[in-house]
Amino acid sequence: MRDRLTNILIVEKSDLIFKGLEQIINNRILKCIVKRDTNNLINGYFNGGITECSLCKYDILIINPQAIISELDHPKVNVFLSNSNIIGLFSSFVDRNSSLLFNNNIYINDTEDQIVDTINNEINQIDKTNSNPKNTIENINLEEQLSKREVEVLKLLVRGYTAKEIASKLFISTHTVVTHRKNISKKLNIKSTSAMAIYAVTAKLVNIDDILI
Amino acid sequence: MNNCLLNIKVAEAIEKNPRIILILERLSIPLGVKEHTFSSICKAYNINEKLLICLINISDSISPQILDGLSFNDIRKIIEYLSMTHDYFQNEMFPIIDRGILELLKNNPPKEILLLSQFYKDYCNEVIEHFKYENEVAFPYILSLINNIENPQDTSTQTTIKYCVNDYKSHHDNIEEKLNDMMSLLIKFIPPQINYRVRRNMIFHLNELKRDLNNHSIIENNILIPIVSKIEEN
Repeated sequence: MRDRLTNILIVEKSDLIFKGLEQIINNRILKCIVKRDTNNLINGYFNGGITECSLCKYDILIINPQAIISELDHPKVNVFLSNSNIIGLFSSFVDRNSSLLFNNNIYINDTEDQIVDTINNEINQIDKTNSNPKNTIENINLEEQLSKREVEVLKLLVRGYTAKEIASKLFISTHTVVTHRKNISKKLNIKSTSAMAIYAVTAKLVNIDDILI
Repeated sequence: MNNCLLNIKVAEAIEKNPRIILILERLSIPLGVKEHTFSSICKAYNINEKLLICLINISDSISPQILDGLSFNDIRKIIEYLSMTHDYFQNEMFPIIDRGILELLKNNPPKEILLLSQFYKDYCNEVIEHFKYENEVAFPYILSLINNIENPQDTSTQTTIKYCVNDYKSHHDNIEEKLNDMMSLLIKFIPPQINYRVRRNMIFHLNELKRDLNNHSIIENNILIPIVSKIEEN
């Protein structure tokens, strides 16, 4: 169980979406405080009026890119996106390029469980980063940041197990297996299972004879 | 739509973007374009200006607008264009990458290369199967559909196949996805001790192929399939 609170800032103009998301987070995510960016901190940050520290107190930012669309070309954007724990919030059609800006995304048609998974995933990543002091920007880990669970799922996937079989072997839901697969795919930038298998061999996670290709 | 393009000289446009050569080639417009503008070359080769601009825009990653008022002749041109693209992939691009893989397989390669070779072989078979389906089922169906409308009396080409263009759509996977996987493997994960020249050239060619395949799918999904669906409805 986490021992500290997670501060979440939501940048979303629609009351309907903000209130819905706030309620899901409050009901389902443990130990967190949700705030809304009513002071326009994000745009202020890009325009120089607000320092980075005002944003530092938030562990996770959930941003609808529509709200910062005018700033997307700003030179600070890339640095900002690579240093912060940000989840994209997509309330309309998804522009693939915008969704690639963020590591994790919430989409308007996601189920409540999917939203909860996405946010918990981000919280787990923060915990992992904090517990691993070596993992700083100065000392970039050259290996992919696949979690222990993701490695377990990957090893079974490339041996030819179905999501259902993996779920029952690891005592998790099929939906969670699918989410893990999505995250593995995003981290490696590999979509097909057979290419994941080649990766698993190069990373010495499995033997060449074990995989199905 | 970028109509200004019509008054630009073809030669100058090619100097800026040599990929236009492929578009012209697939519309059976040979090089040796002299002082032709896009507008004059379209007249000379009986090509719909809108169609050519749309194809150039797609190759420049500008999403195509819905093309209204395409004639049956334009549809025939699109099908010819797509068939020629299949031929280009199969007989030019795939062999180049094949040769790269054969090169990497020389001199006791790391085991990942053996796997990559198998991966690529499977991929090619899958894509060639898809092209074969389009060449032998989907395209003849579309051609006979428009032929039947033009010549309702001609029973020789009357199609009895219970087929519609949506079957074609459902057959249509994201065929460039695995190329992206292969690029990720070559860029990030395959160990460094392989011929760097071959590896670099393979990445360049895979990138070109991926781009071209992606444009090919856009032409099919955003131009050809919507037009044929409309014809079917009528």
